[in-house]
Amino acid sequence: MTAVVEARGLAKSYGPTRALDGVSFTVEQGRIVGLIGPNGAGKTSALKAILGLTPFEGALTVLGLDPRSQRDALMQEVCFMADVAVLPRWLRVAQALEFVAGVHPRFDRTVAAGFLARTDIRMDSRVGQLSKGMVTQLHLALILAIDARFLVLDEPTLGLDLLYRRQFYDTLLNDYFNKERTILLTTHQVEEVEQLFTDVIFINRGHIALSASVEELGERYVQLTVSADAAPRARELKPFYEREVFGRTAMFFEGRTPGELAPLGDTRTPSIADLFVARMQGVSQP
Amino acid sequence: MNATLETESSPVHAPASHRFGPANTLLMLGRRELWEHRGLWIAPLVVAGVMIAMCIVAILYTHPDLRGAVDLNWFTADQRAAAFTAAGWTLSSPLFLVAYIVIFFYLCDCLYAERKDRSILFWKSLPVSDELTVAAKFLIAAVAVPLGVYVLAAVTSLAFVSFWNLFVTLGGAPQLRVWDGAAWLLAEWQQLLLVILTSLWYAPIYAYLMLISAWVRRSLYLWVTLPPALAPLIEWLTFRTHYVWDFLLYRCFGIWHIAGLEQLVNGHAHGAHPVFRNPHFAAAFSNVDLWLGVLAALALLYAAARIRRYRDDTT
Repeated sequence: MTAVVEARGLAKSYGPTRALDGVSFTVEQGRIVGLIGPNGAGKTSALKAILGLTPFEGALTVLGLDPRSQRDALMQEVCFMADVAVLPRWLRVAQALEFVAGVHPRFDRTVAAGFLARTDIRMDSRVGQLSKGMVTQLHLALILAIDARFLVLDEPTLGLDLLYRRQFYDTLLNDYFNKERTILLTTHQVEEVEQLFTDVIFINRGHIALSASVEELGERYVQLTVSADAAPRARELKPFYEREVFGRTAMFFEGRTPGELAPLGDTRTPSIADLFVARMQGVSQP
Repeated sequence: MNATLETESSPVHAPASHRFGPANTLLMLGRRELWEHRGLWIAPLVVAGVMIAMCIVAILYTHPDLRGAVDLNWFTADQRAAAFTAAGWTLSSPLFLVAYIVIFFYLCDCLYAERKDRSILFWKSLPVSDELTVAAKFLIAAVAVPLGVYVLAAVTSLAFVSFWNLFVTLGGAPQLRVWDGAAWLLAEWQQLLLVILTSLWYAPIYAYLMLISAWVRRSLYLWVTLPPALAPLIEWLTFRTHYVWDFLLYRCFGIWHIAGLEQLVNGHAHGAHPVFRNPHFAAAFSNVDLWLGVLAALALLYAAARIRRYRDDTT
């Protein structure tokens, strides 16, 4: 597989704060990668470095190009959507289509217009008159119509209601994603989109806490739910994190097979959200 | 690379790649500016509309004695040219005044507003370089709007002449000569040269405003005014000299000097004064300071584009 993003020792400081402290990761083609971390973990810094929006230290190539020196060429192949509300309020829908058609060689106006026809958005509306959800639909319409190889989404559904969020990801998956394309996505609403991911990168305090494909997660981690009497025995197997769930204890193990844990209680593959919480708390504990 | 493109792509695709050349992208970026900053074209249009309306009202409701009206036949060709130039400049001055005020605010705003409303994250998601974006914004202010207003002024002056002509004809004095095509063309030509000269002379100020616009995080107008206000003050307090002040005055008003139009500004000019016949355009366009200013503008614009490239205040 070809690497879409190759970061080696990527570092970024804001004054004394190390937003990214020499992180290395790879994003392969045809994957949907979730970049997950708490606020201030370095997610946005990593995305900005990838998009050539900010200077950084270390080695970074995106689609084989250097975002620092080859940004203009890179943006032909890369699409990105920062959280909602970056479309200017004065822009009319028709103008948005005309402008992107005028500057982007890979934009297909009929695709965007076709998508918009399925929404309530009118061509002569200004962005300022649209609801937050509709602005996101408009932005999504523009992005779907660009034949890009790499899509970067930074909290794309922040502040949207459930219907718009669900529709957003359905459209993304059904109308956009294919084996030639790659998506890198940051979000707070991990529970909602975790079925979407093929890979996850956990990032915390400028470090990569975990980087793995979803299949690898299933092989590496097991969640065991035990009742109070079995808890001490399970604890001997050294879970890295545990929490109470309705009077029972959910324990998270790394490097144990479901087979060896099954006699103690119920086993399952932990959800990405649980794993994220477990890893983040694990990191903060000595 | 061009060679491979041409051999590989079908003829259908060849025009497409041309369609996204810098010139076409620049044109699209320029249109974008006019969509956003509608004041750039609405304000001059409104002023022109008001002027024409006032002219019509004046003609309809006043009844000057045409026996005393000016007949161009009384004057020499030179004097007619001077009269047309004086009339043209007077008529177009409200248009240009409004246009340059709007341009000033546009320049301050053009690289600041997009960061403030975070739309820069959208513009930068498209394959358009910062250099081209900055160039488009500068060209709107220094070329497109002044030339547009120039054309508007020409149309307005023609409208005025037409109304006057109609009035004179209907008013029973058709023998009056009110129009001299050659004089009008000469006046328009001189005005065009002055518009171009103005843009070239003020280019460094335009570029300075854009640099501030690209750089400030808040208090835009404070930062626009602070350096030119403080620098002369500090110089005077420190060295008791006023070179910076002189320099700023020169960059603001020196254009009248290099074009030989000081008498006009000082209020000594009247209709047939030689100043209207003979602005020193050859000297003005070959003035070293003018072109040094243009070079400085290019450097400032390049700095503005570099700042826009990495200015990272959208969290």
